[in-house]
Amino acid sequence: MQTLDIDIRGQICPSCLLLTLKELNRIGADIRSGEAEIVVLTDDRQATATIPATANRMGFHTDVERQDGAYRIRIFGRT
Amino acid sequence: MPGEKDAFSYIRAKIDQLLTVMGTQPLRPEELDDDTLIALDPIGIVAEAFEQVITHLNETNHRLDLATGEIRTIFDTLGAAVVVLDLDDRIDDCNRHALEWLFHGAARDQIVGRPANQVCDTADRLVGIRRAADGACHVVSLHGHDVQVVASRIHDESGRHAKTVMLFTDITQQKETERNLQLYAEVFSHIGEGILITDADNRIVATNAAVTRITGYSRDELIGASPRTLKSGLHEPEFYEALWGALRQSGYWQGEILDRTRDGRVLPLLQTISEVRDGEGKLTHYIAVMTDISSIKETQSRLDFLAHHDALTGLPNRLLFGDRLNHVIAHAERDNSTIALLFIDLDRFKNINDSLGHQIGDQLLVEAAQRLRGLVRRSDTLARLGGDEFVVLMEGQATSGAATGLADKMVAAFRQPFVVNGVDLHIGCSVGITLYPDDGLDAVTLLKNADTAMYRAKEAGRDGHVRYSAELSEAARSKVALENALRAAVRDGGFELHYQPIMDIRRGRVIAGEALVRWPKGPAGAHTPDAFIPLAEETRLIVPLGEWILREALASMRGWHAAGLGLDYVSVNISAVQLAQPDFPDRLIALLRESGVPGHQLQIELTENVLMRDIELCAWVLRHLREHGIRVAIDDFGTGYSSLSYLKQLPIDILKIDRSFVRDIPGDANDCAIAAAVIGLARTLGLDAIAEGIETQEQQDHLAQIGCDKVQGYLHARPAPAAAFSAFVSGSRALTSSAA
Repeated sequence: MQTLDIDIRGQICPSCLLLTLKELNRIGADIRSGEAEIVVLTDDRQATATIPATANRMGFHTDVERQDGAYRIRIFGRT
Repeated sequence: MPGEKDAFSYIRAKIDQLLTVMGTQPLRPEELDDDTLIALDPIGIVAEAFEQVITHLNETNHRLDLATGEIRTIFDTLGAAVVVLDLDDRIDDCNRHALEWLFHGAARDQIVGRPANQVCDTADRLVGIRRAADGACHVVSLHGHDVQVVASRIHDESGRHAKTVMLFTDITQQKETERNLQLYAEVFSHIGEGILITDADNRIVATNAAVTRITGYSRDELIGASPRTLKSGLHEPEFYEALWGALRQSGYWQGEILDRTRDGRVLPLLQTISEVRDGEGKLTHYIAVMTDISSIKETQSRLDFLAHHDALTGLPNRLLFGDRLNHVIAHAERDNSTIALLFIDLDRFKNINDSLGHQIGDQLLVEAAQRLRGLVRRSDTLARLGGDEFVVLMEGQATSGAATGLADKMVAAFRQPFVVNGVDLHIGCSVGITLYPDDGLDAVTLLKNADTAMYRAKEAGRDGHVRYSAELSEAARSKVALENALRAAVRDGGFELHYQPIMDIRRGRVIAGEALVRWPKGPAGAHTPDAFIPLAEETRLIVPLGEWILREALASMRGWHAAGLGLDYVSVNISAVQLAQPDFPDRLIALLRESGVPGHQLQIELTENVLMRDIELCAWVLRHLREHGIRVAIDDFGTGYSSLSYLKQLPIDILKIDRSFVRDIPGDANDCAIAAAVIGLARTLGLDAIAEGIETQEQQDHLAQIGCDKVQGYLHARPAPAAAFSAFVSGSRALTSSAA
């Protein structure tokens, strides 16, 4: 299992979303098959809504947790 | 052609449009210059992301379709009917069973969207249940089926009640099963037989009320316990081994078992034990059904008592006595001991029974039994064989002396009158005695011989006892032989009639003949009536024999009349048994008519005793016969007891002076006086007198002198067959005529 960390602290939407989507487009197939996952580190509160919503529509699972004053959004395939 | 700036503005606007669709913020120009914008390629990113969204959507739709199909299939194959109603009570959806059960098999598209009350005849009930829609079960009857309905609400996203799903389950079978179970439960609790169920480890798991009633143990005391709790301890281990053996072999055992109740009583139970096995043949339970048979047992022993005892006196009956006698004989045979048997018959019992009624008779028997019981030893067996016959069995070296001693005591005791209902009854008893081994070696012979000895005691004047002897048996045997010969003679016509002339000495002629029956081929000493008439009367053979005599005598009379013998009548002796026949007068008159002989040419002879035995009956019979002219003579007059006043009232023609008074005439003054008195009496009553047994001329002369001119006897003629008699009459007439 490969974890791709994207640290986009300091960025705000829509950049956060676009940066995450860019990675999802790239390794989406691996995430779907469960071989990889993406962990986004962001301090943009709005991103915690837009990123999971979009990822879910694309068929990914997500969870969000707070981590050191930021948010950690995990995007993964199979539960 | 637009400028570059316009083109970027356009691109930025379209990017923002896409980002809005994605649900995020527009790009801010201050964050991203045009070059970076191109380098970032948001359109490409979004487009590629959309591709993934669409792919995912397609997959999701596909899965949804499958799931919908799957749900529809489940929905339709569900063993229940499902109807979804909206808030307006329209059918929103329903499954295949619902179409069948509730909508008369209509197609789904004909039903869905329609108001329930238009498509379903039980809509009212459906709607009622929907309104309640509380998830509770309702049981309704639909088309004769018991249906369980559960209604559940479906809420929309905002939590409002949108639809109601109703699930209908056919529970007819279940209800039926429930009802059956209920019934079995009722049977289980109310049945009179105790039912006790154990598990495979023989622990009691269920009992019914009857088990408690029978054993006294409560249900709680028995549940979990072993059936051994009920053991009486009276059966050997082999008994239980056999029981378990049978159970193992055939799965079933039935038999009587003695158990013990809670309060310690031993109880006979009829038990049936059966194995119960599950579908795989594994033993799961034993069911024992028990019936309390203590009352049956009591009845059985009561019946046993009744079968072996006389209900009236409580004494052993013939059956039990026979068993006892056989047993005692077997014992005596081994021990070389002696037994005495006393056969007791009450004298005159029949008279009392007939005249005072059976109730008095029964009471007398009870008293007699009581009196006998007081005389016998404890070791003796007293039994009632039936009627007024009792028997005593003396065991253990019983001697003839002891037996006659007891018989003496009995006879003496029975001389004392019995007091029944305040009335003194005098009966007496006759006892016959036999001893084993002297008088018989088996029960039948001993009883038969005791009976014979008892009859001898009766014949000897009752009120006494007689020890059996071989002679008695011989007498009894010859009586039986005589009876058989007599019966054959009556059947085969072995009798003859002889006639003895009755003379009128004044006129010197035969006026009549007395018919006398003879049995020429009868056993030695039984040719004359005295020898066989008593037995013929006892056996009632006198009835057919008497009829034959009458017919024969009348035929002879007709013959003599035709031959011109000029006889006044023929005289025939009639027995008391004949006279007592209800149809005697009618038979006699019929015979008379048949013969053509006029009534006044027939005379019947009755003895005084016959006449006096039932004077009323005789008077009626004689008057009846007199209407037909038939004559009546009283035979053996003077030897019996006559009431003279009756004599006067009866239609009598003749008194016959008994030969015993004639024999010593004229030598014996007493006989002469009696003869004279009878003749005088006859004359006074207006009757004729005939002297019987005249053997000498002196007798005849004396009788003639005192006024009797009609005689009969050897002086004139012995009784002779019809032809000889006829010849005698003809001869005497010729003699008389020639003398005249």
